[in-house]
Amino acid sequence: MTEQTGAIEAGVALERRKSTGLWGDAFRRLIRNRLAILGGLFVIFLALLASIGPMVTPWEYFDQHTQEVISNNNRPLTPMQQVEGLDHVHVLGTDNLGRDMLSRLMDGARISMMVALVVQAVVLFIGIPVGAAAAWFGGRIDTFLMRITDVVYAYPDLLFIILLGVAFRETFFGKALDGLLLVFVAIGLTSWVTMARLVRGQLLSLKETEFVEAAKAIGVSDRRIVTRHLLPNALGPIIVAVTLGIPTAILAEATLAFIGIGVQAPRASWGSLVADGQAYLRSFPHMVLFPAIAIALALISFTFLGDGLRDALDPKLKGKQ
Amino acid sequence: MLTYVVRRMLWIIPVLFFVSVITFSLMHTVPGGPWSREKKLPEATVRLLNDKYGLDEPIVAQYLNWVGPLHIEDGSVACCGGILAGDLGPSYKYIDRSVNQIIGDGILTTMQLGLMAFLLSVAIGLPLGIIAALGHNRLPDYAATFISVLGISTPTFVSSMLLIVVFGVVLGWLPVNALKWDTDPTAWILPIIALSLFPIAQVARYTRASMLEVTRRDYVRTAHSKGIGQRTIVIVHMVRNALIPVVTILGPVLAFLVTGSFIIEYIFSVPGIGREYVSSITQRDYGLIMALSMFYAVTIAVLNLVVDVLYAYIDPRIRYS
Repeated sequence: MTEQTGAIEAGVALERRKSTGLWGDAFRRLIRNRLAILGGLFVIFLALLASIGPMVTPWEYFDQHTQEVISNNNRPLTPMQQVEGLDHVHVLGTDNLGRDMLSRLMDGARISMMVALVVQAVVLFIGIPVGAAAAWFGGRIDTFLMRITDVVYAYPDLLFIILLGVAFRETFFGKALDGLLLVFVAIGLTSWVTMARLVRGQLLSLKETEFVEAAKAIGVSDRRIVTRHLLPNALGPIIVAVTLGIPTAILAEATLAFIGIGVQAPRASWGSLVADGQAYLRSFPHMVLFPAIAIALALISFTFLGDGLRDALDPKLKGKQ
Repeated sequence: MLTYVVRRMLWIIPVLFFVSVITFSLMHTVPGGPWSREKKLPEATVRLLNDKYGLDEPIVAQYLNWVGPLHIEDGSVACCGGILAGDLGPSYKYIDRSVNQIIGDGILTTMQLGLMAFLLSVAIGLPLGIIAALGHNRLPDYAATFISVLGISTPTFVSSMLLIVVFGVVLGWLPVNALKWDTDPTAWILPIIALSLFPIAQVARYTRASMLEVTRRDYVRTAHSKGIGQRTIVIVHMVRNALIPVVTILGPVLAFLVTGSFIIEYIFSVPGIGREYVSSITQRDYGLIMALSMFYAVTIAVLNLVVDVLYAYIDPRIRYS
């Protein structure tokens, strides 16, 4: 007490932490999480690799250096292998058809980044409206929408994606982006359910808060309440769900590419790279090792980032600065 | 509670109906038919085959034939057949076997595989998560977190291949082709491990998060201040409460084990029904596709129901209206 009065009298400002708001606090907490930072950095690295990588490499992912393979006794080149008479070296080796592994890995990065973006876009586009509508209108609409999510949820994911993939493989839609658009949409169609449930849960509890009651009392329209009051407050868990949903999507695409569905040759999804290299596993493991490591690293970084975001945005951790 | 269970079970029926309709229509949009082979069959043969198997009927009629309330053939309508009579139809891929036989041969194997992997996942995942939480931010935590992140970031096909190469080929300890359980138990070790890597990681992560949450609870603090030994606190108070949220992910874990088994069965040549799955889709074996889809859908729906009931049983605070 005396301290305070003394300080006030001295005109010295009491030590106060600058208020930075919800996002500022969360950001500071995120920065402190080293694993999340590592994950985030790798994600940025992948994004750069995916966007400008292919412009920087000397070869395209489909360029076959058949002469080099033939001169190497019809064997794929190992990383950094020197071939006589050639002035360049394939940093990560080539595959059995002479295609540079590094370039193909970069194409894989491009595909995985697209998977991440497009699938989550589909999930948000379907999941948020469905969840919000179910929560806001309640009653019969809620039951109806939840039954639909039950059906989608009960449907075996892989089966749906495979069926969709095989059914539309020959159509225009299936050929778009080398078969990728089909895969993305299919994966998105099976993943939106958790987002819808999450949004519904969040909005259901937010609906009972006082500021919503006040907004309704003033006469704010339903749509404005949902878009300007409810959804922004639910943004935290939504962001976490999106980030944590990306590894699942990348994994799904890799698995599909492995069994031969989705990406069409010669595009190099990491999954298809593993499938291609399977036969050479014992003699030329680099063909399988690099894409496998790439998949693992991508998944790990998104997982760490998502975990970090969840810890940073969790209001229960407020006390633990 | 009983009404809830009954209501949920009744809901499974319309869900199955939708799943079957969607699968059936998607299946028939796939261009080509079960007779599309490498060598094109003569027109007349195809027509006779279609007639014999009733594939030339209108789609709705085919669906009704499959489900079974009616038996429509070339304009004549008779009673019964199909699923209601317990007949899942002939397999178009294996001409001498019916779908009933194929499923009968393989289902036990697949379920054995899934069950054993499930037990292993829980047996390893739970302790891993508990140890990680108890040693929070120290070595046990880092080690367990590292293992679990690795587990969820490595695609099943990659870890299976690595296991095969390391243990089967290089070290030669274990056989790599699994036959039936009774003929060669050691051959199942690798597939079970490969299948459980992902669930172990999932269970460990969720258990760890849940245990960390429980550590903060008041009743734990009270128990400490009462002087109760650490071991008793962990076992009697913390673990039992922490397990509740973990039970909720057991549903999706079981679903993964049931469906994810087909990559494993494919790679390890396990003679179960999962292995038939992808090939039946790409070969458009309609009977098998429908039967397997129904099987997976039913399994997932029933398992989710079991998990929900278990959840209510374990947590007395939950009341289902």
